Amino acid sequence: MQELVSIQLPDLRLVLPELTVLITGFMLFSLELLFKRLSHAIAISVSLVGYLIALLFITFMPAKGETFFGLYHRDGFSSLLQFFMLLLTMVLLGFHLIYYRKKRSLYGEFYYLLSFALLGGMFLVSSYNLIVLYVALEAVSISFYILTALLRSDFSSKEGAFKYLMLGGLSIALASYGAGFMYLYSGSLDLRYILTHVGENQYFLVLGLVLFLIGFAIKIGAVPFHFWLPDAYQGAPTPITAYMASVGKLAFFAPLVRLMPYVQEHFAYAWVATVSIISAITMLYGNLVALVQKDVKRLLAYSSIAHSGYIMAGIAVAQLIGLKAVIYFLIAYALMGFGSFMVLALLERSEGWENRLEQFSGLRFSAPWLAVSFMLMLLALLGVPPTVGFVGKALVFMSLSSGSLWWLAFVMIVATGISTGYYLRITALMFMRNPSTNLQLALTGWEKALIALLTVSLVLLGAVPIILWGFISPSAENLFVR
Amino acid sequence: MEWLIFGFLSSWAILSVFGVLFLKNPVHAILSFVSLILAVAGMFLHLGAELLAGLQLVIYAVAIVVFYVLVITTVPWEKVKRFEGFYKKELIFGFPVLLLAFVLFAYAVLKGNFARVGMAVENNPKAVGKAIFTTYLFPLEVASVILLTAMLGAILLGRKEE
Repeated sequence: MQELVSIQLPDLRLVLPELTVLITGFMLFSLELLFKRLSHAIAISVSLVGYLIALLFITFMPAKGETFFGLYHRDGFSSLLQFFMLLLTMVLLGFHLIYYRKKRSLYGEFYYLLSFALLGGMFLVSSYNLIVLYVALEAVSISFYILTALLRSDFSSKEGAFKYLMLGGLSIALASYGAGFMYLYSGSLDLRYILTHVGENQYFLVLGLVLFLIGFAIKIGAVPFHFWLPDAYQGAPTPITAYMASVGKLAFFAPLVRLMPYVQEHFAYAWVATVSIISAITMLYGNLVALVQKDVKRLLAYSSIAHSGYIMAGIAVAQLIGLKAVIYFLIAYALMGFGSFMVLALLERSEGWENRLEQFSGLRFSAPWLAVSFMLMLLALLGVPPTVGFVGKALVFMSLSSGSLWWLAFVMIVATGISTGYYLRITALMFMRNPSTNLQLALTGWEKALIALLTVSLVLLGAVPIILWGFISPSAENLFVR
Repeated sequence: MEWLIFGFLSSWAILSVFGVLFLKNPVHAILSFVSLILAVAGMFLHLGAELLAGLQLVIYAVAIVVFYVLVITTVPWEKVKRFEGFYKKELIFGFPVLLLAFVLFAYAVLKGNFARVGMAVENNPKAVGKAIFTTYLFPLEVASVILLTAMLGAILLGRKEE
């Protein structure tokens, strides 16, 4: 008993944002139990207040350090990603209600499943420990499987969720198999120790690292492990697709970003070879398949695969500049992907809209401002200056050239060239054709304001990249300090 | 003596595995699965991991097997495809993969760097409990959230639509 008492208590100040989200989730849970028909206004306001408090904790209490015996790690990087996760979740809550009502799939469980998914993501970005990474990965994924399946009497939603469940399970199995080999190599579960440890049997480390990478490659939808992604993204309710493409990507990429500073001389070849080959195939395949899609939601899903490829190209350069580029591109893609899927969610509310490509023709007549925002988002995804996508791509290109991965930079240019085909085709359809269908679309003031905010932020963060860079640069340098 | 016990337990385990694979009646297959679990629990006991043996019995032999039996009793067996001899193609492809996995695993067990074997053998329920509620408290708490989410999801998706 004596020794149990003498153990130091964990420093809960560091996990205050996560605790707030957890409490919010449980409050929503118990409110839903107490009141059979909980009003959605109450659920939304409780969630918004909770997330706002968590956001304030992150912004104004910049405590850094480790707690829970080194299992939880808060630094600038995790705070930055958590900030954007919370922000995007709050924006999502401004959009989802009418969509779900239209699809007759409004469940009261949605709110706390969302907060548990967010909680898992927040844990995933803030640990170096393999067990915590495993558990957090499961927490995000299980919430995503359920949220994907929550579309009433829609077969494709269930099918997508099932594929996601199967391949997600496989990915976690592979990642934990790899983690097992890393443990055998070093006798520790801490990634920092494992990767700096020099012992015999180094092929255990290489094997473990490659399996771990493949496990995460399935989660982020890198080719050839992407089979679940188009189906899950297309089948899921569109706000959830937006959520998976933004918060999901931020969460699943974070452990790989945390590995980057610890890539050592003796296994750098394995890292560069695995990551750059996966990245090159992903960029080319994602863009080429997106080119022939007729369904815009599926097209954007393939574009999401292609963007995973661009981000992985930055990860292949295990240097400081690569790290900064990756963080910038991750946040940029989270904003762009979220915005573009959200526009689809708004359009899907009108009668007879099926996201087919030809339905976009003449969108500027029926919904002029939405068409302009969608065009700006597509241009950002393509990487046209002065949008945020351009800065991200330029940074990844610079880091590839400083890491002398010229062939990968060339592949990236070719892939971007291919992607021009479909992004510009949608833009041309929207602005240069006459409308084919009569579109009735009524947006609320909130939705207009939020879409405008997303669009403005894409342009503003691209035109004045120093706003974001000022936060990214110190947190990336901090990751490199051993 | 140690080798004798190990030989007995491992041949028992292998026999039960073949029972699970080849017995036609599903209830018999489940019974030989229980026997496999008992054999594995015996191996854990023999290695001095009494907590692991107990957990094996409590979790697998009780909870999971009961769950399997529940599933088996609800499946309409007259509709299920019957066993149709060996799957030859699957065997040809599956065998090298399994062999590779086995060799890899065996090599890892023999040569891997296991952290300080033999330290926690004395009184291991106490050691495991202490580790779970101090060092690994954080993942334990996150795991509880996962279980809650998974349970909610199962209820939500299994519920009849109104």
